[in-house]
Amino acid sequence: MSANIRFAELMPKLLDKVISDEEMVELHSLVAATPALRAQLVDHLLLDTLLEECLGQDPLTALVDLVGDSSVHSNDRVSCPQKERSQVEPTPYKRRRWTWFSGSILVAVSLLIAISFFTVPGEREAFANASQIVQAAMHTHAAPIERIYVVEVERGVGSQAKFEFPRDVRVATQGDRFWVQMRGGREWEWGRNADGSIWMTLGPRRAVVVHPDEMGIPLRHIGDVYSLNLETLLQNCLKHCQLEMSEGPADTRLIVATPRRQWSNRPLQRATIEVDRETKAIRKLVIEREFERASSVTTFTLVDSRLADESLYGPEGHLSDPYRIFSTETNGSRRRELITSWFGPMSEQWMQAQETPPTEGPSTLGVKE
Amino acid sequence: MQNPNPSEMVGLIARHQTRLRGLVRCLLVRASDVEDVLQEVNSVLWEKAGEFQTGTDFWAWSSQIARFKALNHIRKYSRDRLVFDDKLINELADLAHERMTRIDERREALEGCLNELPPPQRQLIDLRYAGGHAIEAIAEIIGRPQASIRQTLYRVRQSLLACVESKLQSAGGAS
Repeated sequence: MSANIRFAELMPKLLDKVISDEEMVELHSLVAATPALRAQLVDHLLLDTLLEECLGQDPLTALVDLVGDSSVHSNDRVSCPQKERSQVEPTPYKRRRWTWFSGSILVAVSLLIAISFFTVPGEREAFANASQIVQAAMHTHAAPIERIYVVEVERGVGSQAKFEFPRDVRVATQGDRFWVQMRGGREWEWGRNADGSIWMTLGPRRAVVVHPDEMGIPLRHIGDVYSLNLETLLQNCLKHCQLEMSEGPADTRLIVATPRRQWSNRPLQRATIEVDRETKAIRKLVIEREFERASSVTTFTLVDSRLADESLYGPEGHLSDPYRIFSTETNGSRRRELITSWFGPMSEQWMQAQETPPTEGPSTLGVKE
Repeated sequence: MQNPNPSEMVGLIARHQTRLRGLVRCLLVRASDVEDVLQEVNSVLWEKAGEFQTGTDFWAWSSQIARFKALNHIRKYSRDRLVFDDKLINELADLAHERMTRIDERREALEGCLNELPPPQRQLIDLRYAGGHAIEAIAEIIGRPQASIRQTLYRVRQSLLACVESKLQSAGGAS
C-alpha cells in the first residue's frame, strides 16, 4: 500500500480523534519519511482548527476569562464571517466582572440573611415591604426596556434528562415576553408564543414551531427550565407565595418567595429575587423547581439592558431572507425530521412521534418586510 | 519603545488567537490539550506583557512562547502518550509558522469555499463542526456507515484545502 493511501486512511482518524497509538506510530513514520505528507498534515490540522473556530464554539472564552477585568473592545474579537453573532452579546468584561462579583457576594448574602433573621421586625410588616418591592419590580419590568440575563442551570440529583444544557444561554425579556439564545455546540434561538407553542430557529433560514400537544418530554423540559415570564411569575409570587425580605448584596433587596400553594404544572419550590434598590430591576433570579422526573435550579443573572427589538420575539427576526417557517400546519413528521437533522440524535424525542394531520401548505414562506 | 497598555495587550492576544491555536495544534498533532496549552500561552503572554515592546513583531514574540509551551507540554506527557519526536515536531512547527503568515486570507478564502460546497457536503461539515457531532452520531443521522462518513468528510476537507489554495493563488501567489 502506498504511503499516500495509508496517510489518507490515518489522517481522518487523527482528525476525528479515534486514532490508536499504533496508528500514530505509523503516521509518524509516514510523515517523517515524506516531506509532502508533512505539508499535508499541517494543512489538515490548520483547516480543522479554522473550521472549529469558524463553525464551532466561541474560541475566545479562555482568553476572555483570563483577561476579563480588562476593557476588551468588541472589535478585538477574532471575527469569523461564517459564524452568525447574535445581538445579545454583552461585553465580555461585564460577564467576567459579574462572575467575580457573584462569587464574592455569596458570603455577604449569607451574613445578611443571618443578620436579618434577628432584625426583621415582624412577619406581616416584612411581607408588606417585600410585596411592595415585588410590585415595584413588576412596574420596572413593564417598561419598554429589554433586559438580558445569563442563565445557568443545575440539574437535581436523580434527574434523567438526556438533554445536555448548553454552555452559554441568554434570555432577553421584556414584560412577560422572552426569547432565548442558546450557544455552545449547536447555536439556535427560541421563544414561546402566547398559545404555549415553542418556535426554534434551525440555522439562518429555517424555523420550526411545535405545539404543546406535540412536544416530547425533553423539549417541554427545556421550555420549562429556561422560560422567563417575569410578569406572570411576579404576579404569582404576590398571590400565592410567602415572601421574606432581607438586605441583599451591593445595594439590592433580596426577596425569597415560597409557594403556599402550587398554581401551575411547572411546580415552583422557591424563587429568590434580587432587586436593585435604585432601579428596581431584577438583578438576579434563582428559580428552584421540582418536576415529575427531575428537579432543577435555574439562575438568571442580569448582564445588559437595552431598547427592545420587537422582531426578535418571534422567529422572523432571527432569520435571513429567504427563509421558511415550518408552522404547526406542516406535517409533524417533517418538522420532527428537520429538528433531528439539525440537532442530532439527542433531539429525537423533542417531538412526539404521532402524526399531526398533514396539510397542503408546506410552510410559511417568509420575506422580511 | 513603550510597553503596550492592558487594553492594547488584550487586543494583540485576541488578534493572534487563531495563529497561536493553529501553531499549538500543529505541534501537539492530537487535538486533546490544545485549549489547555493555549490557555497557558495566553497566561504567559499576559504576565510577560512588560517585556513586549509596542511596534515590534508580536507574532514573532508570541509564537516563540507558544512553541516553548507546547514542547514543554509534549515532553511532560511523552511518557504517558505517544507523541512525535522533537525533530519532526520542529519541522511541523516551521511549516505551520510559514502557513500562518496568510492566516487571515486563509480564513476569508475558507469562508468562500464553504459557501461553494454542495448542500450534502456542507451538511456534513455543519454536523461535524457546528453541531460538534462525533462520526458515530453523524452516521446515525445520515444513515450511512461510519467508515464511509469518515472518508467522505476527509474528501470534503481535501476539496476545501484545494479550494483555499486556489483562492490564495489567484489572490496573489501561493502561501
